[in-house]
Amino acid sequence: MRSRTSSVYSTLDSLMTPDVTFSELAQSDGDVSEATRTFQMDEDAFRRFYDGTARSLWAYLWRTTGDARLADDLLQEVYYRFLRSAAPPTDEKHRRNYLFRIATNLVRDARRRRAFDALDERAAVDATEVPSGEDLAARSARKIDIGRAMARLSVRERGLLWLAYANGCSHQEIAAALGLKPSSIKMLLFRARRRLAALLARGRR
Amino acid sequence: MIRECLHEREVVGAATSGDWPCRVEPALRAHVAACNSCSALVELATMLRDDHDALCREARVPPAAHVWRRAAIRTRVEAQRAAAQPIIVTERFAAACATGILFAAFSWVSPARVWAALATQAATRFAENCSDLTIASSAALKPALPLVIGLTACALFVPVALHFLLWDD
Repeated sequence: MRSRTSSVYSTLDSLMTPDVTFSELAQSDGDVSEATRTFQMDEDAFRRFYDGTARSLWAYLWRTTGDARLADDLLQEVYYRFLRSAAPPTDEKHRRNYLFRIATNLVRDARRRRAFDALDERAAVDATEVPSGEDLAARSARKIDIGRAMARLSVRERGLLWLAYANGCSHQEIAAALGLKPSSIKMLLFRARRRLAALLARGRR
Repeated sequence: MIRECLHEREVVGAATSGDWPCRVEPALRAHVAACNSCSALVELATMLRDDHDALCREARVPPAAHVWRRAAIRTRVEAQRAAAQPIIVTERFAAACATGILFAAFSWVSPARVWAALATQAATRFAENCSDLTIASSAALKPALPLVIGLTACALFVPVALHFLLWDD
């Protein structure tokens, strides 16, 4: 398990664009406001946007990668790329789709570089704290069921289902976020749904 | 072939918005109770929505200010790296030039010495024979000229190249 985890993060390093080293951080500890001029958004607007999207985006990253640490790293990377993008959409809804599009591409890149081959089913249910207490037992069991079932789906299927039913996105929004044709979403979603239902039913047996 | 129920979008909308089951029309509730496809859909959508809400509650995301500042620092560092790129290229080019000149100088040394000795002998004989000292001295110095140029270039370029190579911030 440990070796798998270390290999995940070594490949993650290669996935990310070179990050800041400690010495560079020390040098740049002063005024960085100059650098923010290249951003297409001011800090207050970013804060509002971030507060409205970060948790939902983290949940999406966590459910599509099945790795909480990878989700943490990807979250930073997604917002960094969003801020550095040349012309992000101005409309709030499109901005959100654009953010999920960046996230989807990063998850796909991580998968291509084998940062995660397949979701570890145990990791997919363990990374967040499962609440204790008898009254929460059913909720915990259901969460574990979803974690295990989602772990067996493909990245695209996870993304489709999550965006459609957890985030409540329309077919157009899903197509924009996943880079698919809007006309194919209905069919893909139907198949993914059927697969998830079958996996959940199998898990309950 | 997908057989989609006519109420599917309505059902998905209710389930994902959190309206299900309390804030929906009784007719829709009745339909879901009777339709297998819609009841399965509601179950799945509610499950995913609940999971999403639970994960959002439990998510420990860094504060916006932290993400903003980190992005700003990273942008600045990347800009510095981009600005330093031509200097690095120049340094490497200078180092390559110096190495080349050094090799050229060394390769000139031994043949040049031989040529110089031979030329001196020839010049002496020539001077003895012709008694023309001016012609003799120029004939003796001619083969040693590349050696002189090489060593001068080395003396100029090597310290500069070493300076760029070893210089750090």
